[in-house]
Amino acid sequence: MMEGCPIKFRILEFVEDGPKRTDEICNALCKEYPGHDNDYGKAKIKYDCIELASAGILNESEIVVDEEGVFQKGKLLIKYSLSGLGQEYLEYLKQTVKPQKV
Amino acid sequence: MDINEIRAMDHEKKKKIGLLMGILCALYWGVWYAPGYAIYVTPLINDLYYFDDMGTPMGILIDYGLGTDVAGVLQAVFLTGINAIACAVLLFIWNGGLGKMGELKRTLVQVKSVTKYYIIAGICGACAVSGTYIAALFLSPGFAAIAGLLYPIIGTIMSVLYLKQKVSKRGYLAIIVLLAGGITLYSGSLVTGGVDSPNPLIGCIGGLMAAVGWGFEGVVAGKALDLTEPDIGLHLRFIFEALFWIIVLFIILCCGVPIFDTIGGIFEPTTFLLVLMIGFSFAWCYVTWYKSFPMIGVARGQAIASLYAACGVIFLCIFLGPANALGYTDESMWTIVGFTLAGLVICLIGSFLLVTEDAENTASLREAS
Repeated sequence: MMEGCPIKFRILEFVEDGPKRTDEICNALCKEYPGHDNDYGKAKIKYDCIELASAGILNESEIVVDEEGVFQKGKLLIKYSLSGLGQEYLEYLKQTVKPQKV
Repeated sequence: MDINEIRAMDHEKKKKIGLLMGILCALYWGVWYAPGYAIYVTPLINDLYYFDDMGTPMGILIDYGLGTDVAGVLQAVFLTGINAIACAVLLFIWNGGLGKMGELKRTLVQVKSVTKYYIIAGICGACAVSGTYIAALFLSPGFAAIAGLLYPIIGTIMSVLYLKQKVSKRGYLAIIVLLAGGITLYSGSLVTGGVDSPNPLIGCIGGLMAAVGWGFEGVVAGKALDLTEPDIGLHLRFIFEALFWIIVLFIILCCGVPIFDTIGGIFEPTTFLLVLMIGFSFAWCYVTWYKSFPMIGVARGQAIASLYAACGVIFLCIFLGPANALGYTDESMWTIVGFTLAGLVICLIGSFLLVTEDAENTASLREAS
């Protein structure tokens, strides 16, 4: 439903069915958004996740250091899930979002 | 290194980014005062309404038959409109360079979910910027700055009540100290000279518009920033503010007022440079202001950005000289300079309190749910 919508909308929908790690979110969503399938695009999506967690919309769990370089070597890989507020926002978006053609 | 230590470092980094954005906002806001006041002497603004050497009101708006109060307000409206349009245009370069034009388009169409908040934020911002110009014109630039400084009080109350963001006791203390510092900075001129104005009520309304406008803008924008990118949010806010002023200015024109008679003056090189400087400094001030909110919250972001009062004094002293910037005479010099220095020291203490706050307080801006 949120395909082609602002990236933060899509992140909320993407983690709706269960917690997802930074690399899973970035690697999947970068392919959906034109011009994002590169390091810069993935970094922007990762920053959106950080902002959503900072706002209390996503919860953080299972934090590990990316020692093997699966995403960004030496940086944290964080598993994100929807918080109570995130659930509320997602319901709100489902009622108000204007679906886009993809 | 232990994973908890890495996580703590990550939270510290996030807090530092938020505070850095707030400080950069204050710097850009302070810089904005120099071209923001210098533009008053260009034909673009000055020819609309000014006082000659004898203190007689002159200009196109006076010649048209308007009173000085209405002419002053319309001049402020025109200048605020130019400011908003310059910012909206320059932000296309910013977001184009960041590769975010696609995200701008995706967000723009979501009127019902988020864009409506940026429409409200744009109108609140329009009210605040025009209010500060009106307060500066009808009372004094010092009063305008003090009135503007009250906005974090409204912003803090609303961010706690409406956005449910948490603020620690140390955070509250830092906000109070920063506000006290900013107000002290500009109090000298009010204590020594009072205010000589033919219509102080309009100036007070302008001051109220600035405080309420910026306070509510931060909160409304904070709500939408939960779900959108800051760069996109502030650009939408400026696009809507620019559209708002274009509509207002055309309504004024349709009423027969020659509000656009000086618009050709914008292409005069010095004026054009000043408009560019106003646009860049104000746009980047907002870029950093909006970027600080998701990192440290609306209350802290607004409080640290209120350092603009200190930065404004410093930059005006650099560009205009201390006497012109602070507006003192031989008799009032020590009082005004004393208040200014005391204000700067209090601002530094407030900043220190905020910067040394435990990063875990800002790890998440809301209680876990």
